[in-house]
Amino acid sequence: MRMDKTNNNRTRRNDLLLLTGCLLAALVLGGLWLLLRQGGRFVVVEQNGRETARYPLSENRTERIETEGGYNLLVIEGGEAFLRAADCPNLLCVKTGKIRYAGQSIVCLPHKLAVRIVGGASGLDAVTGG
Amino acid sequence: MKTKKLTTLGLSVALALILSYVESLLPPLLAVPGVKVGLPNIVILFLLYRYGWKEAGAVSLVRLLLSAALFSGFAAFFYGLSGAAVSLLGSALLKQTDRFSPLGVSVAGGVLHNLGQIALAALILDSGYIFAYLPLLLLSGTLAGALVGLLAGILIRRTDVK
Repeated sequence: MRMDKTNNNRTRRNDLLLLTGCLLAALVLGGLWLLLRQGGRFVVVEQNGRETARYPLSENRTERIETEGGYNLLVIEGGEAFLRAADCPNLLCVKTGKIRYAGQSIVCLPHKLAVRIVGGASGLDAVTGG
Repeated sequence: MKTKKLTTLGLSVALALILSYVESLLPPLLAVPGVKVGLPNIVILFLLYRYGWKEAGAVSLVRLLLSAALFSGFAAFFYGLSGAAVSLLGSALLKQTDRFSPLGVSVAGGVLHNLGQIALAALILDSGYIFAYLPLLLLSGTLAGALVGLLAGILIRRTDVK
């Protein structure tokens, strides 16, 4: 080996510190999110970063969303939202599954589409027409 | 010597391209964009150690262009580029300090890759909401980086003829 032993030990310790640091940061951020998350009130549909539709999470419905790239079938059911079908290549948006908490989202990158949950306690932004 | 380097870099592009194709065949680990191992980065990390950031960056760029044209499409290119650029910059700086092994350098690279991608996604989708997925991407970046670093580390050690 080219490296002497002390140097080797030091790099190994630094590696370990970096690794655990990153894992810890992920854990802390994840824990914070689990603690602070709130149930949402609205389902917002965004295409190219612009809001194109907004539905209450409390009403069951099925909407076909047409995008430049293709379609996505949005279903709101029992206070949860999910995409039932789409014609994007990887179908990650469909596999994402159901979302119900504010801040959660389903992203379909090929269609530049995002479906996200908004509105914690008040939902004032919807009342004022935001 | 120059021909040898040119040949090595050409083969590296081919190898990285094949690895990204192999990876595209694997089922996604999680239904969140950006969660994957990043097998081509084994090649990029190897080049970073063998030659330097310019060679690693050049091969990475060509690989991204080719795999976007062949497999993943135009949008994926920019996500890949944002991740790769931030990742390579951080990795090269960390390697320069000489305080980390390829494993540590790769972990930083993996985490930075995902941070770069999520930053671009937040910009394109014009929202900060995507940061709800930051913990998950941080975790996956760390694990993917560790795996890539482990494999590239073996490669770098065993081919160290300098």
